[in-house]
Amino acid sequence: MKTDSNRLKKVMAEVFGVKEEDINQNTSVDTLENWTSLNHMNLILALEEEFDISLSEDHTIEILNYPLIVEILKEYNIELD
Amino acid sequence: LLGERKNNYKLLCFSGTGELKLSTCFTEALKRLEQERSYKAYLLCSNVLKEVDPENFAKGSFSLAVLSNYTIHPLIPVLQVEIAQLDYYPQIFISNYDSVASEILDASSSLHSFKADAIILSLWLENLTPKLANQFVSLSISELDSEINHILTFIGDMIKGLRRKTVARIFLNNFPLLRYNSFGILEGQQNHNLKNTIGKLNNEIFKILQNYQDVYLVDYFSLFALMEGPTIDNRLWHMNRAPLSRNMLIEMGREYGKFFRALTGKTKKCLVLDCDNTLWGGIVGEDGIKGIKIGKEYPGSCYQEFQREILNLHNRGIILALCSKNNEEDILEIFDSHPEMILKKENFACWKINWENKASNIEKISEELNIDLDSFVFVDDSQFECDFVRDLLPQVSVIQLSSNPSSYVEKLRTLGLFDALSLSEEDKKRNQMYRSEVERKKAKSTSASYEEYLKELNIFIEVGLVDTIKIPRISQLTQKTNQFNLTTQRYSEGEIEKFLANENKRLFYTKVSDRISEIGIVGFAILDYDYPTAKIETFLLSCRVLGRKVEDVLLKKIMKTAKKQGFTRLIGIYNRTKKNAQVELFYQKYGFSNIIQTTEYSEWEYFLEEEEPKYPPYIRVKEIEKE
Repeated sequence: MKTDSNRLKKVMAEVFGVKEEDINQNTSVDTLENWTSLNHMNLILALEEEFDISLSEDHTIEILNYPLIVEILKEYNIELD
Repeated sequence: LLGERKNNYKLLCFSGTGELKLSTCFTEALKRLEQERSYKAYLLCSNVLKEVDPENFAKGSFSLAVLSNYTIHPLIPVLQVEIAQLDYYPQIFISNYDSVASEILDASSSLHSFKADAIILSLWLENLTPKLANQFVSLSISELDSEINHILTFIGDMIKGLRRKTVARIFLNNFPLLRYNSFGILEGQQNHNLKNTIGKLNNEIFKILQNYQDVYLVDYFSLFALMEGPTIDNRLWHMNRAPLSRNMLIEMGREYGKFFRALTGKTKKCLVLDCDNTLWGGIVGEDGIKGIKIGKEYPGSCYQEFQREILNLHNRGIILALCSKNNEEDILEIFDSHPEMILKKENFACWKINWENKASNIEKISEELNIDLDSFVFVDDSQFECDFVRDLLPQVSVIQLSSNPSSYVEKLRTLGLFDALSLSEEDKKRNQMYRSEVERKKAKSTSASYEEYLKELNIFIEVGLVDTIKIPRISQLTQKTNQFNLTTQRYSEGEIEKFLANENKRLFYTKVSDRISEIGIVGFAILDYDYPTAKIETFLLSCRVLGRKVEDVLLKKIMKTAKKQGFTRLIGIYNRTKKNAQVELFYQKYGFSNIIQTTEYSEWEYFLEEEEPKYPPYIRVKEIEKE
């Protein structure tokens, strides 16, 4: 399923409390101050809600930056533009 | 909800619609939440909230301490937003992981310096007693007993420790069933099994709470049992000790939200109902009384079920009213003569059945019953009518019914808009009283003079000092009374009990009845002794007895008591709120002189003289003396 890449940016912005423009290819657990371990849980829950998926245990640990999330979403048949 | 913030605040809006004002962002975020009920919408709201100035909140702040023995953090955004929706700014304290006992028992802990209005104590059985939860089969009966004792002692100690140190409301959970049987299909054949052990624990927890005031049970058992879909997130449980599933976080947060709504006095009081396609299927004007759908078969059965739930609310003290675009006689005929109707005419305090717009009809109902619009819930199946009322009367909660009548009852049940922290005898009688109110108004229009009218009503007022049996009702009055309330101090049952034990305070109540009905306890005041001055720090009257000189009697009783005790000077206080403008000059009317005056606050002084204060002549007053 193809979908608008802004959906991912939007949901990440909502979880971390930053502007949508602040989410880009370089956004990662190391560059984003608000990406705490607590917010990481929220990220898992919000991604699953937004894309109506259920992440595997491995994937919940691997989603550590924007490009990785894009890659992992592909495994759930979600292609971002 | 939010006023404008004067300073240049950080401008941001997470939805990417450009640089909107923050208050707008928050309102927009709340709108989205209302549409979606999603976890991410809660996250958005809570993140916007972090940037909002607390001063924007009309009611000030609400301090909530959350103590738990597991990772409860994902619940916090939901709790924050639930509080913010009630016009309070949420201040939250979260205990460190599994430090419940030290926070509670150590007097110097950060919990005790936090000064909470409410405390959530949320305990997770698997962390409390892993043995019982995960190795039940291996426990001997004596080991099982000792585990149970250990848990109950712990809970008892925690509640006792909290209650000693704070008057905050406390919310304690019971335990949900675990998602498996300890013995498989043998579970039902065993004397001791996991299920009945949890049942036993829950019964005992319930009993513990009976010994304390202002401690409320949050029924996780039912919450988990009744929720559709997964309640537990096993991944987050193992990775973060965070057991609650996404949907459970929402449900649980909203459950606590219902308690917060009730304790901040935002409980709804009046339900206004549309008729066609709401109380029955079809349109009486087109289908006729024989053609409408109400009865024991589908779809009429859905409407009967809905009416039964409305009747349940009625019996819990919720005021009912009708608002329908129809010919009045058509609708009343259905109530009078349709044999399948559950609701009867006498269940309704009033009705507006005409062709005027519904917003102005609801306003009229509000005037007639003397209930504020923000205590109203309006139910209709029409998108147009719902939007119309939402637009014109934003303070009214609107429930729009879908086109599936089988879903009506659940919609009404799950919102919790009418939930209260206690159910008093007055609640159960309230509908009768409001109907009487309409009769009284009729009497008023036929009596020649107001005094004559009051005489005819045969009002009987009991006035005296509060005793312990009246504490629940008194606390409830302080929570609910907005208009005739001089200082609008809200008090919990625990606080009232403390006042009763305080030698320098006198607590007065009034109880009213008349020839039409018994109205119950409707007035309350606190007098603070500081010789030779006595200060009236609380003075309130339920709005349904306004205009019957009850306030006169209560104030005179205070004067008499103070005088008898040798006091020479009375001080009255007025704190302005959005709703109590009508009593701004209350003390002036009784000859008090103004000694302090600001826009928000005033103080009034009265010198007690030789002459004995007198009650109005046409009212029978009985003084209950306890001293």
